[in-house]
Order: sequence, then C-alpha cells, then structure tokens
Amino acid sequence: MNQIKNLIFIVDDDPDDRQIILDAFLEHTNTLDYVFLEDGQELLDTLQSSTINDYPSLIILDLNMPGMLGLQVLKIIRSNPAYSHIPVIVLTTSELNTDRKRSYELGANCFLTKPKLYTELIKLTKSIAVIWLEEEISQSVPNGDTIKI
Amino acid sequence: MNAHPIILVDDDEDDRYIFQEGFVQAGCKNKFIQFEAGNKFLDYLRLVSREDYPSLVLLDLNMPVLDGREVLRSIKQSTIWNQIPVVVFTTSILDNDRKTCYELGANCFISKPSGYQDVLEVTKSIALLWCLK
Repeated sequence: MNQIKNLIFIVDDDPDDRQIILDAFLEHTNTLDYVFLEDGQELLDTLQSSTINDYPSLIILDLNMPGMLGLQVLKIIRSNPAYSHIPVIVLTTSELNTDRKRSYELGANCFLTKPKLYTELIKLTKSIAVIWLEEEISQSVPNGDTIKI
Repeated sequence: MNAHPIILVDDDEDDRYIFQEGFVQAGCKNKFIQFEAGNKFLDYLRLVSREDYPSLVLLDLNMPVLDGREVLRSIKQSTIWNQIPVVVFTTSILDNDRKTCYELGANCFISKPSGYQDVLEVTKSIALLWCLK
C-alpha cells in the first residue's frame, strides 16, 4: 500500500463547513494531512511562505468569503507560475451558472456545489480522492499487486 | 434530460462504449455525443451555441489526424470555449504528457486503468464531479 501523505488545504470562512469537509475526506483515508484556512488572504500568505515541498496536493476553495473572494484568489493562484499547477476544487453553496462558468474560465479544476446531505458529501470527497489523491488511486487487484490509475 | 451533452472523443470505439456505460451507471441523464477524431469534434463545437456547450469533454490524447493535445489547446486558448471542462483520459502514463496537458489547461489528467471494472469506477467518479449537479 502506498503511504504517500496527501496534504489538502481547506479554505472556507465557515468553521463547521471546514470540519465537515475534512470529516468526509477522513471517511476514506487516514493518510491525509490538512490545513484549515479561513479566507483567501490567509491562503495566499500560506502559499507564499511555503516551499515547493510544502505545497498541498489539493486546494478546496469556497467562493463567498469575507475579504478576498474565492474567484479573486483563484485568479491569483493561476497567474503565479510557482503554484499555478496545484489543483483547485471550488466547493461552494452557489448554484449559479455564472459562478460555475467564471470558475472554469479562471482555471478551477472542478466546480462543485456543497451538497445538503453529508452522505452526498462523502460521495464527492471519495471521487475527489480517487481522482486526485495518490494513496486513494492505488487499488489492490486480486493477485495482490497494485495498479496505478 | 440535461441539455448539456457529454462529449466522448476517443478513436477506440470500445473505450467510448465503456465510458458512456460508466456515466449512465453513475446516473447521468445527459445526451452523449461520440467522436472518433479531434478535428470532427472541433467542427461540431464551432456550430454549437453557448447554451448547448457540453457539461464535459472526455478527451483521448493519441488519435489520428488531430490529437488530443491540439484539441485541448484549441479549447483552452479560446476565450469562449475555455469555460468547458476537459478531462484527459488516456492510456499514457508519461509525466511529460501529464505536465503538457495541465499547462494547456486540462481540468484533469487521468491515466486509464487496465481493467474494465476499474475504468468504469473511475468514469463514475468523473461523472459525479463534472456532470451531476
């Protein structure tokens, strides 16, 4: 089993939402490190003070936050070659097509509306883990080998 | 039915079939449109109104005539098409392909697993993240 530790940044001004998102990820993996960040400026400050080895595997980004909006933060991340490669998943209460369209135009890897049910959030985080987090995308096959998706 | 189609661009007919099966099993009600070559897909996209832009383009890389890299470049360099999510789903496991695709603006780069069931499961995850609202 691959033991690579994945680091995710969860950026959301709502502390309950940050914890619920983390809990949903932890339903699938115990090899996860995380950092809670409560606004866009804190995210940018953290990225700026990080070395390349400290960059997260993934950023989960809320859109509507006090101070700098998520879309502004996304634009700044994508325009900085040092961390423009980091996958950013927008996870927001917004269901607006304009927010979806703008997020994709600015380079979000994925735009997701926060589900109302925790069980639905677990399904989403499972899919995110399958696609982006390395430990989760190693699957055992019957002969005991491991395949890398 | 969701008005926004899911586009499958792959020169392998069997792969297109498996992908569509994965999306359907995940619960996608979208229309599916399949293309066996990148140029044919771009010809289609030029005729589509914005209201009918796809939910997702699932794009192979290595195809005859116009390969996936050029398709990806055309979409993501366009100021009107760059809002369309493109997931590259390829047999390639080359880091260089992964890097190139992300530089060109791919929303995700995924190397196809070898088994039918694994392809199906990954396709379901793709469906959940990009096609089911």
